[in-house]
Amino acid sequence: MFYLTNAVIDPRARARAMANAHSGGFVSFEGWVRNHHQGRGVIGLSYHSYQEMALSEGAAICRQANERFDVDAVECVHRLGDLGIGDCAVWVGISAAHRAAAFAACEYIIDQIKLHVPIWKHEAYADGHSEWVGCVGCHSHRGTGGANERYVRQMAFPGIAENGQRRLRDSHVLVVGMGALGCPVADSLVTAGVGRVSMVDGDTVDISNLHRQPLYSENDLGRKKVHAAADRLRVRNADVDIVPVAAWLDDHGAQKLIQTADLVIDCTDSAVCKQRVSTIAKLRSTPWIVVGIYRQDGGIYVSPESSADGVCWNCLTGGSSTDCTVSGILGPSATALGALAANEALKRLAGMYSGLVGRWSVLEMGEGRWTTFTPRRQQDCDCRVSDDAVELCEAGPEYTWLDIRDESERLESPVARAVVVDSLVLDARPESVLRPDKRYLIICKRGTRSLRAVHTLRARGWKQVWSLQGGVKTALAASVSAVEA
Amino acid sequence: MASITVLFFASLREQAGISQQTVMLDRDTTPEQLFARVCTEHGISIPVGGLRVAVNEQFADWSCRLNAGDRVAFLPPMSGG
Repeated sequence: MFYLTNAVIDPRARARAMANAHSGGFVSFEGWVRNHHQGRGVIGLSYHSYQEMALSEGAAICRQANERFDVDAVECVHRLGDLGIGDCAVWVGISAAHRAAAFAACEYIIDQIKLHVPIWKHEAYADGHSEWVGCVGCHSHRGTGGANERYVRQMAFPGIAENGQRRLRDSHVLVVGMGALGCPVADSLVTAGVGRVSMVDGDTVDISNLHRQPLYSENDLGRKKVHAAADRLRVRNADVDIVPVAAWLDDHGAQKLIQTADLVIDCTDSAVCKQRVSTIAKLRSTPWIVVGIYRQDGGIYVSPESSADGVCWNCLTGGSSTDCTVSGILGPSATALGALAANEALKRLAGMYSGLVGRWSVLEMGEGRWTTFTPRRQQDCDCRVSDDAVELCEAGPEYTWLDIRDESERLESPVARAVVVDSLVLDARPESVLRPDKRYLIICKRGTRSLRAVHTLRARGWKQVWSLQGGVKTALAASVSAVEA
Repeated sequence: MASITVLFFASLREQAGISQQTVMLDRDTTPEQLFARVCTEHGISIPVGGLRVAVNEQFADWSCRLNAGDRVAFLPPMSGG
């Protein structure tokens, strides 16, 4: 339970009162009034509160600690009024069967009280002045996200504040591609205090990269980009968990990385990679931002919160990409695009509004022109899954399953309930396979060929056909038994 | 019009010179609008970015709609513990 008191706190008496036969350990924390604060001599202080709210918030924190940790009892008392040097200002006591839970709960409670219980400290200094102590800017609270001098200008921005900063701290962003676009993106996210930033790129630093990739130096030549970037970013902000992945993104790796991220930012220059990232992000409903640049002209797409409702790279551009080794590029143009992507990312993570969501925005730096479009799904695009594909959990007994995989794929992952059909026969003579009064679910390995088959059949008037979204690969990963049943 | 009680604490109370006041507001006023109004009225110079707002003893969003009888508290950065 949580109490406020104007009387002296007696830690020993409080600890004794918590003794019980079930508990194997007891952990307590005492906050004392010290004689200095940020280099100034302190002679005394007073605590003031918004009493009704302090009591309800304090009780809620103790209740949460009880629920989260395996503890027997939780007690907390906070002083109000005038205190002298050495007085006990706050006391937290936890009894538990085992010590680990008691330590963890104790730390949790004192951290939460500092952040969320409306109590304010007014300090009197040896130099005759007195001041209200604000946690914003207080060095002792670095890394709590809600109270950090590092972010004080950012937190003054409407829409970020303490809450937005906490949301940034609790977020994980995956940056794909650590070239001219990825460098400014990762740098902005890390310095803004995003809790975890993963970076994936298999490339090494080359001398021709340095004019446009600001995280690398001449000392990094020949190193993996993600390792050089991680070293640089860790000294930019030691509070951030930086995860370098020195690899090219294949399907398997992409699935794994994308599903753990709150947001994916695609900064690659490869159309294949951009299509892969967008398709998987859509499949996983992971929010997704993509940037691309050609000479001085760049584009940015910010997916809706549920990226499944958005488009893929093919829908946006017809699958194009550019290679700057041929076309040439100005470093600052890429930096500008990267900064734009990072700006959108911060707003998304902090829960702020952005007019760019769901839009494909093109910045022509040569012309000084900024144009935004609402992109539409291409009619024949593989990503157009919502009407033509069904997820495994939706594929009830009303469907007859047709397996169009080749023999080796079928042997690798057998699906007993499906009827094997030659895709050439299905294409050439559908009437020999399908009956107009039945519903068919066509399956292949990844859901791509089956979707194409569905589009072809529907174009010819066979409307009762659907594709298994993600194919057998995804379905098997989701539930082996359901497919085999 | 709706009658709202505004509560000031710590450094804000010092700047406002009062601990609470009652104001009449148009319906659907937000805490952000209310804060701008009391800042002007009392010459408060604390930026909204570092503050939090509570409505009826619960943390609230700066853009929520206030109702008649609400108690709105503007909370400077807390420093308990």
